Amino acid sequence: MMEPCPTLQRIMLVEDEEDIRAVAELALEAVGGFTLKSCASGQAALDNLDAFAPQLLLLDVMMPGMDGPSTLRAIRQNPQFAGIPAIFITAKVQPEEIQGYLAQGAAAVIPKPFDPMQLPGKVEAIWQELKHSP
Amino acid sequence: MSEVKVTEVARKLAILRQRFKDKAQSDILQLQRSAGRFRGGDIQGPDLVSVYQSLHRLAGSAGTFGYGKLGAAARALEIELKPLIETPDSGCRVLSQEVVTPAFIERVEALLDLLMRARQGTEPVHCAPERVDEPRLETKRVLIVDPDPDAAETVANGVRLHGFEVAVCGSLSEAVHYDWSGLASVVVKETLLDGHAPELNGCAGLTPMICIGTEDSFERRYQFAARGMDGFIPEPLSIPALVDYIERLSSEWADKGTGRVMIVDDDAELLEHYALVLEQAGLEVCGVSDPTRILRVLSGFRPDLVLMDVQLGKFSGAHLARMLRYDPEWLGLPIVYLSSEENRESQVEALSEGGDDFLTKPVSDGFLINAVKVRCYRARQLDKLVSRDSLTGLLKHGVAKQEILKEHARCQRMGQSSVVAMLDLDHFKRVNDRFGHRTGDVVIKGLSNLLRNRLRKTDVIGRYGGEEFVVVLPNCAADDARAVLQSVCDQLAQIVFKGDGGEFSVTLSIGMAPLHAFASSEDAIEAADQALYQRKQAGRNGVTVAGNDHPPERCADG
Repeated sequence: MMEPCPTLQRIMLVEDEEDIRAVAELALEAVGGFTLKSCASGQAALDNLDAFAPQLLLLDVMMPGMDGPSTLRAIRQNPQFAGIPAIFITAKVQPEEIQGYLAQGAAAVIPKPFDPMQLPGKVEAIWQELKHSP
Repeated sequence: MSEVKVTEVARKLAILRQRFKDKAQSDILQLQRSAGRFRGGDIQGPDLVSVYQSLHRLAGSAGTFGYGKLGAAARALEIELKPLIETPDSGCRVLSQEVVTPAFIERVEALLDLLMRARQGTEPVHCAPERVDEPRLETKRVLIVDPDPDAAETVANGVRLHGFEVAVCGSLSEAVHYDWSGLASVVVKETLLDGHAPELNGCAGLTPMICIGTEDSFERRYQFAARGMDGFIPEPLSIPALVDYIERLSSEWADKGTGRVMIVDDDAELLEHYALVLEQAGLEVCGVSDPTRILRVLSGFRPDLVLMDVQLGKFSGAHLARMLRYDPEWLGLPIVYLSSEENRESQVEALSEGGDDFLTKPVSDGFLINAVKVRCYRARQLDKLVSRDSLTGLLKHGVAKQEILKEHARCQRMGQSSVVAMLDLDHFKRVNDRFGHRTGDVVIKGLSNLLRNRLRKTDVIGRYGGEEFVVVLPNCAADDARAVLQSVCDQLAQIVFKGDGGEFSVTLSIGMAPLHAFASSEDAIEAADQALYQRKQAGRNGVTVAGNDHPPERCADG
């Protein structure tokens, strides 16, 4: 039986680069109409997790300190977010690297650089696909 | 999005872009300082790491802010530097001499140029308000080579009217100085081929070449074929016929060397090897080592072809193939098994479950590339046959309707504004009656080529019926859509068609409606159709927007 697809509203973005954060905020909030919490580090993401209760994570892979995959692991330690889907954003998109990220729990990978105008559409499409696939 | 919001977003994007540029400039200046030290022989580990990180940041972000070339250059440098960063200190010294060569340093220094030279607007971030200019980004370029400058200019002007960008030169030696790889076609006057034309050596295969000639005979055609020409078109030249030729050849060529392949193999090393081989041959590859992920990867990646191992651990490739066929969406997807199974009977058995073909391991790299490319090409052509109108190559009625339905759903979901428009050639019956159906077909093709060149890649263009077309402009404000569609009307009216009874031109009526504003895509199409009817009543040749309450100026007289 298929569950009704919940609407995607709250997205948490973890990205250390200020420029990319700003353009992603613009794209996802103003263009996509999502509610976005953007965090500059994995630690900031953990601090805001309970209060914001995201439905989806967008994680930069290469960050100083806690990188994308470790941030995801840490977030999923929290039982409430054990199954939260995550999309990795990264410039490294060789097929075997994508495989690696998928193996580390990412639901999808969005390559950098991304077109800000297309970002909300991509995220929405991945969300739809996640919710509709078994 | 409302129009106000679109402008607001564009404004904010421009500010972010400027901010990025300032920051990138100081980053690159820092890079240049490091490069200067490298040049002096002072290659230090910590310096290398910071250079690498800086390049990585540029590679990841420059494209997002409209500096695609800068991003690509930084990415190339980053990749070359990577092994050095990963080598322990002792090996670093030796390796660094090999990587950080004077040429490498020069390329680092050239980054600043790339940042500065990216003129505002040449590499814009895709954004709705710029949509009127946007089609120019994808404009196809044509080079015309003719020693007679007047003749060349006449042809060039005709081709330009169809939305192409055209360059002209007088000789082959001049022509080879152009970058042929980005051209849709090179059109060559036959007289230039009569001599030896050594310039053409090595040009075959770069871009389609079309020869214009006076004498249409077997001997001449053979001679042109031997010279590497991909097409021949006799004089007196019909511009619409030439444009159609260019369209057909360039779209065939675009499909030829490319393709999307999904490889399913549980042997990670083999998977990586195949992926590498095919990628280097210009194919897009997605590797899957865990068969349970197939369905998800499939709907995201949408390959032209699946290469699958027959035995994948506890899974059988044949069963997986049968399972894929459960979904009508993947019924037509070619599945080719890659296997060491030599037994013909077992092969046939596997094929009966839903596969299409067998490649027996071990396969040589060259054979694999060719086998995959040919199959991808055929799969694409087949797909076109099924979904596209044979005369124009545009989407067929049913497929176009499906696309409008999808776009309508997307508008509802994302709160975007999109426009649907119905187009109908004016008095087309008169053209057919007076000049015959073949000339009528030339006009239909002319309009479809113009639409393809004037609209964005993401826009949906369908042939709805005889002389009726439908267009969807996703994520586009009404005013912008109206401006683009009006320009299509204006441009079409300027094109001169030749028929047996003389020259003529044709006008176009368009009715458009906001797709997002209607409860269903059918209602929106209906509204656009009504607007089209109003335009016909109001004197044709132009665009009418649905729901504009002002009655048409002239009524019910035509």
